[in-house]
Amino acid sequence: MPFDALNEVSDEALLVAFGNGDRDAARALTLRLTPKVMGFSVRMLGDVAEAEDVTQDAMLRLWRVAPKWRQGEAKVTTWLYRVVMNLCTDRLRRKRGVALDAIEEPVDETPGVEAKMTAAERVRALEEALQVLPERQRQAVILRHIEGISNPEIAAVMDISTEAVESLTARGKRALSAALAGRREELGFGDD
Amino acid sequence: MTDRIDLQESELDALFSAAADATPLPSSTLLERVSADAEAEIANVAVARPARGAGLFARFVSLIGGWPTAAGLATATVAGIWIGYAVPETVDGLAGSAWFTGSNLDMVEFTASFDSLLGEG
Repeated sequence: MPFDALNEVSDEALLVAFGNGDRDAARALTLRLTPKVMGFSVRMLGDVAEAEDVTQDAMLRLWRVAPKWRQGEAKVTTWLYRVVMNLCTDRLRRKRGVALDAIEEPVDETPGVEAKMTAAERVRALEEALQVLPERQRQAVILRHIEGISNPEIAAVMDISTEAVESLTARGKRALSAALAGRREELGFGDD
Repeated sequence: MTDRIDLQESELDALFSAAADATPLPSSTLLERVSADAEAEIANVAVARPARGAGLFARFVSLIGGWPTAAGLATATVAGIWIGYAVPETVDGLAGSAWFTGSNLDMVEFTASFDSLLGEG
């Protein structure tokens, strides 16, 4: 089958095909889902090597669940994000050895930098600020505002209500705004 | 220390947008690792499936020599049922012919006679 022909096929259908031994489906799912998993993992963990391990682990779990997958029961991405979220949580807990929901202080105010930050530097600043958010807020903010997932799907991933997702993202954004306030000039937003 | 002003909604959105555009791509090594796992799972499922799917009928077919034998057996069975049910004229005629009637069969003698031994001498 031409590879392009699979572009229109849903994740669920591809997963069922993979469960039946379809190698084209495996390739399509690898290329389609690995970047999503990797992006979410690296933002959650802030470490590329660890994020790669989590990505491989999550995809392996996906391959293993495929033969038992029944279409219509769940969205593949919802299931996958939940697996990634749990794997990241386990790693963060092992690494820190403390409760993650303890709110930490925002990043220190840094001296003003004359030059505007490049886009890459803005991204780095955001990622640093994300790392100090409580874990649930970080998950919700990343899924909603960077991965672009809808609130109901995030609710399914996190196993909470849509209202709780809205609350988490709102608190997360407020915390990020406060954390980055001292760097607004550095971020190129000027000093209002 | 001057008062800090929190980022506005639009400023935060600009950061999110920059982050979304800069989504880290998986390395080719990672893609190879993921693909290798997928390949291994396909192989595992292929090995596990025949053992799990080999039911009584599949084992019977295997025992009698595979599907060609089973097909021949099925054809013979169907033909036998059809002959028994429809009783084609040719079969009926053959069965009713002189060769297979009881009276004629009584007269047929395939073994040598020992009558000659009962005579004198």
